[in-house]
Amino acid sequence: MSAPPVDPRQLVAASTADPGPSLHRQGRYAGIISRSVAIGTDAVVLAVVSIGSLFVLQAIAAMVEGKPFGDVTIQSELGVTVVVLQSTLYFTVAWAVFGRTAGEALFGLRTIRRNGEPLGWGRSFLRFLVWPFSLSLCGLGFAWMLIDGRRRTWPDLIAGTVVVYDWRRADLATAEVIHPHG
Amino acid sequence: MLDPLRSRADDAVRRLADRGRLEEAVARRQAHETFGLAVGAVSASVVIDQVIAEVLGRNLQPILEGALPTALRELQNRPELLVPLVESIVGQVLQPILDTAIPSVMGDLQARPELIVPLVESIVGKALQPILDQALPLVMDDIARQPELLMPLVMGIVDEALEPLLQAALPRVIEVLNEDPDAIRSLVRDQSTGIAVEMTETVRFKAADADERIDRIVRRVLRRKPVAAAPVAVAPVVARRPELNPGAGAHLEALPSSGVAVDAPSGAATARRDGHPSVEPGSGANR
Repeated sequence: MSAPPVDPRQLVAASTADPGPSLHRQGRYAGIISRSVAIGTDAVVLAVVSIGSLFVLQAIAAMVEGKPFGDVTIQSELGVTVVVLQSTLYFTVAWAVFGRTAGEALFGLRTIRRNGEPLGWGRSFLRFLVWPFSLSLCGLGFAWMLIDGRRRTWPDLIAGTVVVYDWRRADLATAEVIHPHG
Repeated sequence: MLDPLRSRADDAVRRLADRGRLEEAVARRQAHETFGLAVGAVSASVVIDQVIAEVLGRNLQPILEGALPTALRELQNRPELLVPLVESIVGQVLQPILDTAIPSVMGDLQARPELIVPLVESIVGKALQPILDQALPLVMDDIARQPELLMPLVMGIVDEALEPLLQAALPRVIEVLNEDPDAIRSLVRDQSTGIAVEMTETVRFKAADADERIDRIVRRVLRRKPVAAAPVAVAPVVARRPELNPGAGAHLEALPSSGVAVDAPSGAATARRDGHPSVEPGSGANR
């Protein structure tokens, strides 16, 4: 299934139109509150998915072992592995394919490279790998955005990414205004 | 021998009768003219007004002074008489006038429809407005003093005005809804989407405002420069995923002719809009 072709005149018209009140932040670096609540939303989503996965896993184990559901216990290592894999999959796929996670989509954020391009699989995976390190040290790596000129966290600095406001609908996303920062 | 005598007598009687009728007609005419002249003279006289006023004052005034208070007292004591009285006045005095005047007025209005609007304005402005101006404050005062009157009033309005409207309109509305359920579904879906979009935008605005506040506080405390002002453009979906739309790259080539620069070597949709103050680098804070 292919996306409908985009008329260049529409793109240019959208890019040169006067931005409405909801668009004046378009493309600007997202701040700590928006990003925090977006991460919180992602955590809730991941928790729900993980609980569901573990529930299914336990049900499968119960069927395989022929025991009642309540008598089956899942090894903690297996549970942690499932959760980590799911998290890895969730964030990497979301950033690489959609440019945003569910939480970021809800709060109108988008993770991109500094020149506006999408992350790609490698950067997405690298960014996810650095996240735990960023949240350690009392979240110093995350709070780094408060002193960074482009509101970047440590994962952003390492992966060469930024998080910007993108409140437009996908069909209006255009090559509007790009300032190559680096 | 008697016949000639009888015929002469009959002729004499007939002539006398004709003369009598003629003289009666002349007398009637003279009396009518005399009466007309007299009435005209009396009407034109300045004395007649004084005479009439004197007669009325001497005869009617006592009657009115004696009878009116009694009648009004009676009406106060028996308000149920008011309606028949008004109906009687309207029926005997106003109704004949209305019966003759309204068809004439309606005929005039049909002939000259441009008079309808001024007429309605005049009625509303000169007749209804003063009544409303005087009555509404009294009604509002009454309601303020006796709030228990409000519900009966509202229920009365609903029963007498809205209820018939609803009874007349609802079946039609339901019929229309039944005829086109897709429109209703679309309406409900659009409304739900609109509510969701509105809530989302509210949350985003609040979060972004909080971002700005936190950022200002931190940078004031740390005495650091504001966040880079220039926005980063998000490459279009078609550019990020060219495999979905092979022809989509054309729009990037079209951009320069529209005043937007393209960073061709990188292949990215890195464009800059000329002449837009909000996008010039270093133009101020990130707001």
